[in-house]
Amino acid sequence: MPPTLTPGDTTKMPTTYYLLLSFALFVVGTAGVLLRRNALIVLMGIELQLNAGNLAFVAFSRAIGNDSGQVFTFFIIALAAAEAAVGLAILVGLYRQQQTVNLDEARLMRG
Amino acid sequence: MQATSFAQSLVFLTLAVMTIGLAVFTITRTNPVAAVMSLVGTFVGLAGIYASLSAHFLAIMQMAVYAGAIMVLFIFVVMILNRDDVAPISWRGIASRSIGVVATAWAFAFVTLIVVRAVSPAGAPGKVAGSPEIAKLLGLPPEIDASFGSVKSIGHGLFTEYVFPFEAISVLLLVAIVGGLVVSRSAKQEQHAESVAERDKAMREQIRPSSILGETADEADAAHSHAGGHH
Amino acid sequence: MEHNLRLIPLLPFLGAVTLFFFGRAIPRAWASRIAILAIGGAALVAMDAFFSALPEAAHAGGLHDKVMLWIASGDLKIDLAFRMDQLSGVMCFIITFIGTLIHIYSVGYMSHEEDYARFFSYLNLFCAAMLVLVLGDSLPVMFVGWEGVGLCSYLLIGFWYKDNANASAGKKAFITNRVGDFGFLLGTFLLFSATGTVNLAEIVSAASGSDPALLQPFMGNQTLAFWACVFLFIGATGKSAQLPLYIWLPDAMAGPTPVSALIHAATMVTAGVYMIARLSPLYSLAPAAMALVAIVGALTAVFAAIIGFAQNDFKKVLAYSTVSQLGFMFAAVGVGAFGTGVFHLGTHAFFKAGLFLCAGSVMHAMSNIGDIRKMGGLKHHLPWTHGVFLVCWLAICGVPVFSGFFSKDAIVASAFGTHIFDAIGMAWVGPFVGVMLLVAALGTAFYMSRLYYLVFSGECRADHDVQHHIHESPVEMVGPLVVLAGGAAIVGFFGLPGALFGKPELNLLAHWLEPVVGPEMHIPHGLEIGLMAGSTALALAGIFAARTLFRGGWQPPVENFVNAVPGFVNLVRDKFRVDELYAFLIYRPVSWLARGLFAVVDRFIIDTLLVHGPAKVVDTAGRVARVFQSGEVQRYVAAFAIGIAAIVYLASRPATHSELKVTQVARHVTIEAGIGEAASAALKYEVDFDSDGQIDRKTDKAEWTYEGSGTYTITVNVLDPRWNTTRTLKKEVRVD
Repeated sequence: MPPTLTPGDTTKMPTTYYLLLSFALFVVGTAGVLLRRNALIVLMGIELQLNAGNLAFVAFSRAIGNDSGQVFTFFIIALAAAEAAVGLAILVGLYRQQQTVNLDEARLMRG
Repeated sequence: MQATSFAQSLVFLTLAVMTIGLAVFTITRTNPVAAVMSLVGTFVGLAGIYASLSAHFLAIMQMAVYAGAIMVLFIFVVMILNRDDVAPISWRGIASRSIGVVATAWAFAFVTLIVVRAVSPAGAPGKVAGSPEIAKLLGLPPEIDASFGSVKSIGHGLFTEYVFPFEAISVLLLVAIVGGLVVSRSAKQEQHAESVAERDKAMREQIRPSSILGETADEADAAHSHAGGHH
Repeated sequence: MEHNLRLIPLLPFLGAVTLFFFGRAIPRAWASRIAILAIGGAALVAMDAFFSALPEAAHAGGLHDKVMLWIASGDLKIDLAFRMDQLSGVMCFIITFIGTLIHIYSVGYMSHEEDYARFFSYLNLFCAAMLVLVLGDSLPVMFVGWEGVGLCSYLLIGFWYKDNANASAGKKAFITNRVGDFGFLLGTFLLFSATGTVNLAEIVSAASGSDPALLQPFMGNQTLAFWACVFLFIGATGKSAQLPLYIWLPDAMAGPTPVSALIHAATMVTAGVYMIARLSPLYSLAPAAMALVAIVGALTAVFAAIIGFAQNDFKKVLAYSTVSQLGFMFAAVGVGAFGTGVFHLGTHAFFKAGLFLCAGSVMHAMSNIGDIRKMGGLKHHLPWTHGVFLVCWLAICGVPVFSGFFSKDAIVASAFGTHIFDAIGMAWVGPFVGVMLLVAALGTAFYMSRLYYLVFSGECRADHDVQHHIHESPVEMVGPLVVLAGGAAIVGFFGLPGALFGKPELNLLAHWLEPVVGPEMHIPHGLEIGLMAGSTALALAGIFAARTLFRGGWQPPVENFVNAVPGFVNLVRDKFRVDELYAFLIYRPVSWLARGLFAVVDRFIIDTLLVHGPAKVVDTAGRVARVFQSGEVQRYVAAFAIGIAAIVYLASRPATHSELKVTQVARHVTIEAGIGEAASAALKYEVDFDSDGQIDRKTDKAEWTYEGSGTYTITVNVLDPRWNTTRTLKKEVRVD
């Protein structure tokens, strides 16, 4: 019989690395949100930010051995889905209005 | 306390590099389809990392929901918009925005640093510093059992301790659905919806006039049910 | 003694109010009836009081009626009260009697007028105000009447307000009056400050008793009484049209003729004389003030008479004549003949009112033309008017037997015979005034006769259509005319100079007024008879001269004169250009100032600074704020991020201020770290005293003694095991 993997005991990496990865992902996501012109990319940047948060949750959940952190992550995924749906709907509406999804051209609220 | 093995470090490194690399890719593509694909790749990497953290159910969920559903949504919209290869960065107000990025980076670095410092072992590994709760956070994982992160365990949490947020999230999803529908209506659909609403309102007024000095709701009900009772 | 005096002003007041509010709703005939009933009723009450009640109360201060307490402020209590004594009784009689006659006349004169009820309302209101003036018990109540007649004068002069000139005339009258009223108020204040009361009876008794408060020196070497009298006189010059405030009276002829008759002949303009007569004891305390009054009166008399020579408007001649006669009255009270001044007031009321109403009658007949150059030969067309005019004309000229003779003569005699100025070394004033008055009398005779001959004698110079319409006035106009003429004829007999014949009691009026104004002035018989003869001669001379020059029209000598000195004639015709002078001296600087103020205060301060200012501030602030509203999402997110960073930074500052306190005594050093720290036993301290990197102590309070001298840095590391953080505190220490 091939050796079975015991589920559970898989990693022994220090939590710090996961936190640093999470931080890096978050910064990348923020850069995408703030610096890109195309609204779609901006929304993707937001997804990256959310995922960075998710990663932090899961890392800590593993570190303290309580899987409530993963329940939270579950909720965050559902939330991200809802937000993406509505955000994209708005994007489509914006596109219909001004035929472009460049955010620097969406200045109707100016003044 | 077991030391990390080379294999584990390699796995983590690979997944991490892949995740970060593809994330950077995502935000630097000019072609939106390429960006979406890169994001999918990021999510795959993340799913792998979740799996390595014993969050099995979550890893599958990540793939199914995020990479599967949300990204498909993105692809749909990309197809609708049918635009690609625009100049990636807008130079309007680039100053404030760059400062924003830097500020965010600094703020979160600051917080991360605090947390990291709190969870790292003071001095050599094995030495405990600080309060007992924090001791648990030292990068050496506690012992967990096989049911950690399993469907059963997460489901149990969802339906007992976290049932209220669970129900709330379902309401949120309903709201999002309705909201999405409403926001993406065309002008014609809006007009149609408005006229339907007016028609409904007029009908309701006929049946039950809402004058200030008119009959109370109960009297009206009694009258109308009396009238309607002969049918 | 109590009496229902309040009815006297109240009835016309009610009439005025009724007609003002309901005048248009009632039929025209009833409007005038109500007015006449009101004033007639007041006349009846006045006569009843005058003839039956007053004689009994004459020695007890007259009739009194307190209506209510009007002002109570601290120690000052002013009642709304009326008092009728001999003097105010005479005035009441004149006002109500002549007022009633003029109301009746107006029925006919204003019969074509649209605003019928309004006219009678104002007329009634005027009578009410004038009655309040003469019946007032205290200076404030008198002032109410004073202002009231000023107001009514404005309302009535500008009655036909749709013509701008009339409205301006009304304004001129009111404003000039107001200038004088300022003087009246100042006088009131002075008297109050001296005597502590504004009640007329009390002031008079204080003056009669030579109250030292009144005689105290006040300003410029003169007594307070002097200044009070001068200020009050300034009020009188405004109200009674003396120099320099007479300018409104000729313009006031723009109003309807009954108004001119009532207000500007018989009543309002006499208010000043009444006031001085009422305050005669006060004036007697200040002979210098009386000299001023007399001189101003005499000069006015002459000045106005000269202007009257060259006027071509019927009513304007009469207006200047009024100013001149008022000058006579003021001259009379100025030389101390108070009763005589009132006497002339009474006779003047009758004959001047008669003259004005004749003017109205003539203008009514001549289709409202007032220019005497277009009149002439009306003797035959208007017999009744002519008769009345004749009588009144002779009265004003001072022809014997008619009333004017007695009163005017008495004045001139008093001027020459007075001694009140001897005490102050101004004995020349009396004769000066007397001579001026004689000149004025000559002038009066001359210009009034000119008027008579130009209007009534010769051929008619009017246009054909006008001539066709000439008709005698209806009976309701002629009736009062006749009554007034009768009065002009016989009123003189109330003031017969009985003293000449050793029977002073024949002078009924002087005798009647004696308790109020003092005894009649004693004049040497010879002087008086001489003056009588002289003034009669002057009057006849004037009449004769006018007859020669103007009978039947302008005769050649007049033309020659006019051609010889055209400049002078034009000057006189232009009323000596006094109005222009005032416009230059007063109006121009004031309007310049007003324009300046308008530009500065109104436009700049209020409009620009206070109104536009805040608006612009708000606008600019909004504009600045709008810079941040770029509408671009990413910029907003960037602001978000910067805000978060700021919050993170601020929240991470240590809550407590950790201090290192070092106490040094020579080489011995005591440190205390962690001051301000929230007490935490878990904090760890590491102290390095001698900068060698070695940890010397591990407590937050430590001591050390330095061996060698030099500069050391004390370093304290504070470890927080909860968060695994280290804070370093450093302090430098110098050891010698």
